[in-house]
Amino acid sequence: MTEPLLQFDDLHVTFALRERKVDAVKGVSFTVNAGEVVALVGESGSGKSVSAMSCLRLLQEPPATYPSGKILWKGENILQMKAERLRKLRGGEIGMIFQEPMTALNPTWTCGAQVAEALELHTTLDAAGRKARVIELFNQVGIPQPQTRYDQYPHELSGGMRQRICISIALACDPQLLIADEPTTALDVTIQAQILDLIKRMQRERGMAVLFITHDLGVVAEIADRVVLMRHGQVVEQGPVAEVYANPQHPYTKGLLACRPRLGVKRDRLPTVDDFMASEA
Amino acid sequence: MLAYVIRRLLLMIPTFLGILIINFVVLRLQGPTLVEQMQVSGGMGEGATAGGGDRKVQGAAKDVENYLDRFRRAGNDLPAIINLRGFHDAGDYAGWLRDTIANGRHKDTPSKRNRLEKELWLAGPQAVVPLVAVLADKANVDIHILAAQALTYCAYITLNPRDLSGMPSAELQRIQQRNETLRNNRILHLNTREAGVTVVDPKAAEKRAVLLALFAEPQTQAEYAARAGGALSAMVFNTGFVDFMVKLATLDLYSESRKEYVFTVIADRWSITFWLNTIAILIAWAVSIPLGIHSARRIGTLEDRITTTGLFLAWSMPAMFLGTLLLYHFCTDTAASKAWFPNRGLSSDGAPWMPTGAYLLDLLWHAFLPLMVLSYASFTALSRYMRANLLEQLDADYVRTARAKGCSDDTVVYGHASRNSLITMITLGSGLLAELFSGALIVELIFSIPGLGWLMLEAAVERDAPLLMGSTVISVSLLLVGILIADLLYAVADPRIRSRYV
Amino acid sequence: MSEQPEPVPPVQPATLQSPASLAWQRFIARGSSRFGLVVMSVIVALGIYAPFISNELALVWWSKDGLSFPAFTDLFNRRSYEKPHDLFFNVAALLLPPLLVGQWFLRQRIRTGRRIAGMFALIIAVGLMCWTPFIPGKNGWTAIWDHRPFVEQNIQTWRELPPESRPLAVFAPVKHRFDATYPGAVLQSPGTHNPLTGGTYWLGTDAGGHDVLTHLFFGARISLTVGLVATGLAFFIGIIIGAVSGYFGGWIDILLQRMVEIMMCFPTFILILTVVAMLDRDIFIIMIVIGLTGWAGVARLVRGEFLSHSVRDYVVAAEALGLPKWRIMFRHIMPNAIAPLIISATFAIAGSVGAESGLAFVGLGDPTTPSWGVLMEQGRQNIRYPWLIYTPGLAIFIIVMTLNLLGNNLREAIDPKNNR
Repeated sequence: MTEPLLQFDDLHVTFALRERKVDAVKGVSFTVNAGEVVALVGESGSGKSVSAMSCLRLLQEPPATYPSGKILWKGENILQMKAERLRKLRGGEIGMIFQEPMTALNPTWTCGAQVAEALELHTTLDAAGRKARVIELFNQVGIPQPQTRYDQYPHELSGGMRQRICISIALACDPQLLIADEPTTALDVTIQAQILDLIKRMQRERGMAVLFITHDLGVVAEIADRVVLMRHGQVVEQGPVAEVYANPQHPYTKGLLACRPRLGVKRDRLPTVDDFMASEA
Repeated sequence: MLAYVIRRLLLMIPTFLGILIINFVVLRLQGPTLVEQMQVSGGMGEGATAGGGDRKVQGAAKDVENYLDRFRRAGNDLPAIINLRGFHDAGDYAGWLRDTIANGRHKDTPSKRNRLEKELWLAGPQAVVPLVAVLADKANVDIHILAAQALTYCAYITLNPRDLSGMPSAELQRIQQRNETLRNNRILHLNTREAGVTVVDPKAAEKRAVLLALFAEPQTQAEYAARAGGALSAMVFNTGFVDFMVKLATLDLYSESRKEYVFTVIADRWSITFWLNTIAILIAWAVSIPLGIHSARRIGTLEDRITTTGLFLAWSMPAMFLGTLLLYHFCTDTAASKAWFPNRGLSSDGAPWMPTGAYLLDLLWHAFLPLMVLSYASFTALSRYMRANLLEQLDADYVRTARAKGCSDDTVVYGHASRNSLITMITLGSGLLAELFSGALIVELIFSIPGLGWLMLEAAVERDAPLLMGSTVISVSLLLVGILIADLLYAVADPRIRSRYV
Repeated sequence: MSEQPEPVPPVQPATLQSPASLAWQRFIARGSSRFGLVVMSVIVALGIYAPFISNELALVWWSKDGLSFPAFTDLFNRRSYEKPHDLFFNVAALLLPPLLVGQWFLRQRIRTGRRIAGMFALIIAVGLMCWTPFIPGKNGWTAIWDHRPFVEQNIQTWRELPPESRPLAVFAPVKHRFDATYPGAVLQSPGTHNPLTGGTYWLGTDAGGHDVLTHLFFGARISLTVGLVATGLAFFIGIIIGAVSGYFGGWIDILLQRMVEIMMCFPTFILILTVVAMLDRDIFIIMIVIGLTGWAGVARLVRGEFLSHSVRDYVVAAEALGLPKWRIMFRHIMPNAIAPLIISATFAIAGSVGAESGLAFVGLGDPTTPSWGVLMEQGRQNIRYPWLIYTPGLAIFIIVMTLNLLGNNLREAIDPKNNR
């Protein structure tokens, strides 16, 4: 078996706030192999975003601390990387897109400049080469009229367009892993479908691994190979999507899957997760 | 971009007008009435003593004319908004004159006096024709004396310094001669202090006859009618506010106490204030932006805590305290030591004869402390804003994207976050401009720098309305220009604003 | 493969907490807030109880004629209060202990918000009543106090009596009156002895011969009054204009916004200067003018809040219920907008104190009042007497710094940024 690309090894993340300590992640372990799409699923507050952001050490270090555990990227512990190595990792080897496309771009820079900056940091292309590459990326992610878009500012674009720009920033330097932190939650359903298609297509074309964070079980079914379910900072179940959906082991998973409203099935009352947790805990 | 500039300029016009209106209204609140002033100087009626003789009486009459001149030059003789004097006829004037002498004495209530003053003595050329009619009418025997008195004041023509040089000399002489005639024939009430009895001028009848003869000529009446203008046009244009605006536009404001045109006085002084303020703003920005960024990047460290506390204490320190302290410690000569800095003005006594290099050094030496006091309020506030704003920006999503791209900390702070902070800072900075002008006043006072702020203070204390109006207009204009520049910079910095107006 | 995590106990708060009480707890938890509140209380106490700290009259006078408390009875002697705020502070000196005791005893019975609001309403009512004797023409109130006999039980008469027949008397720590000038006592340096009263000029005397330390205490009254009255007036006008402008929108908004912009562009200090120069130099007029020129910032703030709230669902719901507009504005939207206003108020009070001192500094203050700004102006005119610079300067600095500190901490408490 080849070495996993990204491996969470009993990760613990604690926030040391002024009045109290919050244990956001309490011993999370799972892996992401090359070329596969792993979905990280959970409610708000389950610790999934915190785990994902820890991959690139994007949390502010003074409140956030890592009391124990490791995140291994091709064998190297990300939590102990030096600043220089970390910078090469970010964008160069791992790309990340976030939830809020409306605020994810700098309002005072043009879209093209922001994508070109990623190229400037990790490649040796000259200015013309960077511009050409940016136009190429825009074409790949499906941004119409890329030449005009290059000089436009983010506020001139819609949410879906902005998310595509963010995707092109993340993919600019051909990373081996794409971390997507709920990229479609803030978009409407039709745009959501387009972005999902785009991510799937990029993943197939480039053979990238994707760590997809979401709370939407439908999206998981559509895009993921494996699923990891988190609750209250811990992993409750993980496995191939088909298996977990067909045969949920943990009461929480059972509850989640049962709560989905289904067309054609008549019910008086939707079951809730608590029903399952109470009866089987 | 041009559209944005034009739009901002257009929006400033009502603001400017509003400021002019407020200024005008406030300055109309001023001072004692003409009648009180005249009585204080012993000029009118009740005050003059019989024993002083003709010369003293004449001197008192001249004082009244001086007051009239002052009022007319300041435009205070005209009603503020609407001038209805053109619609009053002889009958109205007769009625008023009668009102004032019920029981044979001037009524003492202030409201009656004010009306007397406004309608009778300050009415100017508009009252001449009706008053002549009143004087000529045999039925008004009881008020002839008063009417004649009022007529001499109304017919008196005030000459401005510009008139003295501008008018053809024949015309000038004619007017001066007529003023002389009016003065010589002014009917006065003489009051013996001991007896408290009002005695009318013994030559009253003669004087009245002379006046009647003077005004009987249709030429004279026509001249005054021409000066008065039509009733309708006078209603709008012979008003205090319009007069003020015209004087402002033609730079015609005249200051009585300084005997100089207002804009001449200002011209000497405004450049000092302008340069001091501009340099202070530049210093404040140059210091505060790096300081704010530096302290935001090192948040939580001891260095940051000391800087923040220091900035907070400096921000709370009133400018006058700091300025006076510096003046005391560094600028006063004690028995023990000579002062380090000069305590007056912007140049030493030998300045005009110094070579350029020495002159510049001397200027710097004089201006150092004032600039420090002037800029410190702005730069402490700006540093604190910069720090707080940068911290906010560093929490923003786009900074997270930039970090995820692999940007180094320096690039994130200087390339991304600072640029967005500057946008807010420009807005906040333009809000500080108004405070800067107030601070300039205090600094100028402490360090005895002859600038615009101190001029305004002197004008306010002396109740010199034209000077105060003129200098307020200038300083507000400078302020508005500053705000306009800030808006322009804002548009340059923030593309979102630009695209709204392209 | 699945794991069984241990069950997580649910978190229940001990008591339900309103945003106001949460903010108060965050505020009071910081050491600097507590320090600021203590300093502010000390300044207020010094201002209120100044007549008991520095007075020539005895606090207790026990002679063979009986026991009397001259300082207390003199509080309401017409001679002791020349301006309305003096009377108000004298009344407050007597009212404060029962008010505080009442607050303590009623803390279980009445809710905190209502209790504090009630106390402020009472204070404001008393304040308004104290202004009535000063309305020109109405001599009814002053007539009562004008007939009180002039109190002679002061330190000078005490010292004039031969030692064996001196009554037992307790005097205030600083034995000078705020309006007393002693012959030859102009610009004395600190520590000079006062031969008449036997006391010392701890902080020297000013250009008018008044004791500076006494002026420090009585000046606190002026500063507090100016701060509160001017800010109160400015906020009153600003809130009304901002609320109407933000809630109704349309042409009313445009018109009022032009007015706000005019007031903001006008260097207000110059406007205050102009008005005060044209009118009398009375402390009351100064207060009113500072208030009348300072409402623009408040109006802008309130307008912003009202604009953002008036489109929210709870306002739409209230309108759908048919509530009258003023009720929606002031009982529904207003409590949400109060938080930034309170913060702004602390800074505004500091600004008013600074403005009044600035006015006095340039020579337009009220020379009959023991204001700190007037002391600073004397310091500037007579530059070789540093105590005239340091004393009022440090006093103003402390009051402004404390208010700024409280404002900063309030801002942090109401809108915490440190928590992620």
